[in-house]
Amino acid sequence: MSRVIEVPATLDETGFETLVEAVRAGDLGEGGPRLLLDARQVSWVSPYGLIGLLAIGQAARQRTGLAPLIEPPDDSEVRSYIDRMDFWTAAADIFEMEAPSTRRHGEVDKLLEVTSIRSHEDVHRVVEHVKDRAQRILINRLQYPRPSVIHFSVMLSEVCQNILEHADSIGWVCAQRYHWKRRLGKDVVVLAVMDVGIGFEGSLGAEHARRYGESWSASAALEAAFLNGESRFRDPGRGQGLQAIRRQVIKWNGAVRIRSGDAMIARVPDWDDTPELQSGLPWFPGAQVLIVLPEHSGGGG
Amino acid sequence: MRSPAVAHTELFSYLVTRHTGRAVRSGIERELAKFDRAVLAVLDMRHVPVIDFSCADEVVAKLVVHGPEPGPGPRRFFLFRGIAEHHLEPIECALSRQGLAAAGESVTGDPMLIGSIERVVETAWREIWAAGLVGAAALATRLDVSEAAAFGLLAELDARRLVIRDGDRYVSFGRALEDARRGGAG
Repeated sequence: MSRVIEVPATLDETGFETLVEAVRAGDLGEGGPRLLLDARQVSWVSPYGLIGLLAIGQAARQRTGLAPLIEPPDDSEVRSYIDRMDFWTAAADIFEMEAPSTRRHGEVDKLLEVTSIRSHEDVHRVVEHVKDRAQRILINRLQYPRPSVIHFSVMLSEVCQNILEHADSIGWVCAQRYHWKRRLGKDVVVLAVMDVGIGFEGSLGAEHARRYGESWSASAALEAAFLNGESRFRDPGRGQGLQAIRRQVIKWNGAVRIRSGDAMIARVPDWDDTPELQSGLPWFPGAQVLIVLPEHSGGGG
Repeated sequence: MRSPAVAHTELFSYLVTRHTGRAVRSGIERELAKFDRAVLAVLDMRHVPVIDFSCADEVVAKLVVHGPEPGPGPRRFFLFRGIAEHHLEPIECALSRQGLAAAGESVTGDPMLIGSIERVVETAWREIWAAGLVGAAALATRLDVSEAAAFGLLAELDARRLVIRDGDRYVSFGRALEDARRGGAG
């Protein structure tokens, strides 16, 4: 038996939350029912939404022990985009499906296709692979200064390593340039990274939970890591990665949001109205990171 | 004093991920363990296009902090060469987080101290680099401070392994490298 969950037509960070809530209400437990994600109505998908499908599929698989199913979008443009982003290669490891599509339909302003992160070699591959595209997109389209390519590579490395160091699980990364006509009237690069591992609360718990007592929670863990640079390790050299990402995003007047468990923390720029800290969201394992880097409009970089 | 041995290591490629950093550091430590006397390790970063914060912690900060403290065993000194603008932030951050400092040279060969260091101590270090070799009295004159103050600065630089002590004189890494070249050390 399958539990059919309809994927929202607009699959971005808001659509992801809707989907998480729907899956949670679907009452999936060990041994079934099997999840079927019905994405036929999807008319727009962001990198966050795209790897969100993988995260939700993997979480359901972990919970039920059954490979979930997925119905691809009907819309030919969305299908074409998903093909170009190489979604099906990663999806084949999670969903029960036919052989993944290997079609390629011309160029897209992708920085990075959907890529699974399992090991440090994957992080190396991602960082080295992205260099030329980052140069083309960050410098030519977003008007960032030349060193931004290196800063972006470092950011990518640190955020991907977060999966390896703290999640104890597989994760995915994906990045693309868009024109945010309505939201910002500018080009942006959107970088999404997700895993369905132990999350910040689980990762930092052993080292920090006792100190916080009853106030220990997913939001406390996110604040500890994101704002204070605390880490699961006693090693004082740890915990720099997220801090560095935050600093760099601030320099570029970008946004970063990290969702973990039932909480979300954000660095909110003047052009965004996301709350800086939310709790009480539908619980979801691991960590889900969204970084938005807007086109440069003068000043330092 | 017998000049320290000199060990050159060229670092290549992308220094990203903690795993890579650990592997690089282990390789360097294995090499340094072969020396039975003080050694100046010169780590050349000219061919490192990217270093991330994790790798900077593993390769730079942990090498600096793990060096032998006073006691038995040869001392190890580190000079990071070919430091470009894009290396600076991760290295600076990794060192400062633990109150550490390391000696470096920019891609154009300019000496620099990276990390957590008081301005007056850095000024003293630059004077020593320029002079090559000084004692407390000479440094006091150069800095226009008392000899006791100069001695305090030298003691701090010595404790942090940013200069090489030779009796009551203190040698810059630049001078030690020149001496090694002339003497064929390393």
